[in-house]
Amino acid sequence: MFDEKTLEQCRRLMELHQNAINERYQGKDFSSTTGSSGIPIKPVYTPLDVQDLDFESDIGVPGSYPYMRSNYPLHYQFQPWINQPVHGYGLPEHTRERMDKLAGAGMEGYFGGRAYNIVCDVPTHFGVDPDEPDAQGYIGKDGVSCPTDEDFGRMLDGIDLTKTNIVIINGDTLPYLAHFIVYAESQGLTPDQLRGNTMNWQFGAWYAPNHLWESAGGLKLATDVIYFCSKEMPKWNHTNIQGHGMSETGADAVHQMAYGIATARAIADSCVAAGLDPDSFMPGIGFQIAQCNDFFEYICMFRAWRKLWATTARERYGCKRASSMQLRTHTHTSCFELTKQQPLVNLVRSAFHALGAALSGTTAMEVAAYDEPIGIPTEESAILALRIQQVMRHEMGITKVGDPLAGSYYVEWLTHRMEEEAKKVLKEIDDAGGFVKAHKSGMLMSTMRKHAAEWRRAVDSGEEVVVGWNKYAVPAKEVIKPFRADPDVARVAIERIKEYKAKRDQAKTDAALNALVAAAERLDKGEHGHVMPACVGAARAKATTGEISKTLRKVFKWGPAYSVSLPH
Amino acid sequence: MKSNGKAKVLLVKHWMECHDRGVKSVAAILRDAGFEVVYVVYMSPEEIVSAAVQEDVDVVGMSFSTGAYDAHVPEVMRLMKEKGLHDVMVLVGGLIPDEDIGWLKEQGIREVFGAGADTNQLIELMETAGRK
Repeated sequence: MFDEKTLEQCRRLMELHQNAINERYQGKDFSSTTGSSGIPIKPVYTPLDVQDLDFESDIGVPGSYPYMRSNYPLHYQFQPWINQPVHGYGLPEHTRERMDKLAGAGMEGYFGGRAYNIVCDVPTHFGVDPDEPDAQGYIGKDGVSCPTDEDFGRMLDGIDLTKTNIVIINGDTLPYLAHFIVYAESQGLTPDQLRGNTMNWQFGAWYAPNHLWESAGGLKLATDVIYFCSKEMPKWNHTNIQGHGMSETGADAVHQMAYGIATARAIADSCVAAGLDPDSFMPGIGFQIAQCNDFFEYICMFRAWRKLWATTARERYGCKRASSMQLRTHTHTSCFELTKQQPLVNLVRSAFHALGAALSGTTAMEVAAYDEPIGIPTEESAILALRIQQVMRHEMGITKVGDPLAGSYYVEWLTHRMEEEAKKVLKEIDDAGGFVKAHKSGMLMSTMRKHAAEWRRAVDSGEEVVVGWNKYAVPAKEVIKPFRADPDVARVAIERIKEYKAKRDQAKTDAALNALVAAAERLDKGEHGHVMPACVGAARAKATTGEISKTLRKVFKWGPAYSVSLPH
Repeated sequence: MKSNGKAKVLLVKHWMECHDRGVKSVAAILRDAGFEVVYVVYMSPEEIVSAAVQEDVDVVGMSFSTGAYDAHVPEVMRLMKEKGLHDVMVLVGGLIPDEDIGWLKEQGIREVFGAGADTNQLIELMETAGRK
């Protein structure tokens, strides 16, 4: 990218620079620092560090393949990122209150639209109904208890589903999507009119003690969701690959990106094997990406991720549609780096994380609330987190220029390096026999656990400074009141599910669940396209999400729940 | 107790729990400090108590990220008494609001180590355990 004259100037000036360092700092070595992924970082970068990059193929312009600088030729100038705060607690009507508060506080999607990013409680995540013993103590605590189509009605009543994106954060996607579809049908809508996002995390709740489905069966179920959506729900984004979840488990930036892409590749490979055209399903695969403390590294990770995804889509899958190659992203700002001590400092941290995400060109954003280390967000902390997004968008002037950090020798060098490092990790996974084997063997998990343990050791030793925790600590002045859902939630949720079961035609429900077993057996033999419709059939026959999930467990294995490896 | 005279600890988390990074970090910290650690993902309080008996542990550490301690802790303490595990120290960790710590101690929880707790304090307390 540079002529020999410029490079010669650089060499000469860097020699002078080194001499100046030696003179001013008596030869002290400042070159031994590393980024949070362990990549050595120098104090200064020049054209010499990026001389081998090709402008067109390695950097380019926004909106052109390989989309490193942005998915779109104009992005925030035209459509700022979607505000997508995660919310959900208590009963569906309680969550609706928060939805309305956030909407009233100006939460916006593209072009004045809106996306509600609704998180379920853990029992709903794992297909456990409120009336089951395992759910006790967990109903509506850290998400909404919403196990039926009727609950969707209580939460979404009056919302125009053809104009609103409903993002559903739930582990066991099939039963849950089925109940959402059945609710939509009660409003006179068909699946092709629905817009929003499911997670399709069939085997990837990395940070939780339970992992949902065993790898190979989980992949079949994930593929079946996509098979259904690619045919019946063209506006629906079926899959959201966990990056933030991996980061919270312990993955550094390089591993978050590489493992995210490895997960997506495994799913896409499976879809191709099921006979789907990549251009029919790739646009529906998005990524949930953590933006953490190492400011520039995470920005560079993001840029590299866009390029790596675009080249994967084109070279590995032969995609032709731009939307297949463009990395659809939901930023989730870091949570493991937030502190219970001096919690208002988290507002500062999250604002920097959010700024990093905006400078990376993310397409949607959840900014963590300052009280997340104490409980789920209060109304006040949730709205403050939204205000961070609004201040960035309206006051900071950062939406004027696309990919504003491009051209920085450091940023371009590090972006390229992140891409190279991620490719190495992807090769390790390939060498280990592919993603499913690496998932099953615990290789991916043990790497993440190792990083998490190393991080904690560095914090405990003081090597990693955390303001207000291991440095600048002060005695706690006041007890921060945690958010608590209505104590009556469990009782009401249990009553409702019992009533739901009592008033249905049990023979119809049983028949629909039997049909689901047959469909699941066909899927287990590799025949796609029957399970998701059978789940919708079961939901129409008023089988609960828990019952549908447990029916799938008759065919597909659950786990690995209890073989969780400990860190080294 | 291990041959080095250090306590053996059982760390537990319910399968409906969400984030487990904290309890896994505690496991690593305690192993680094020479303690023997067993980790069990449980479905019912009975499983904790039978694992404590079977593994002959000196300490049980219960981790919660979702606030279910209100349902689980009293039951675990009752079952432990029933089985005669009077000498086993029970600790709680995770996402625990300060205002609930008093209640947990009333249930018989020796100490609570929540987000950002001091590792050295945990290790010091662990050093006193197991010296029956």
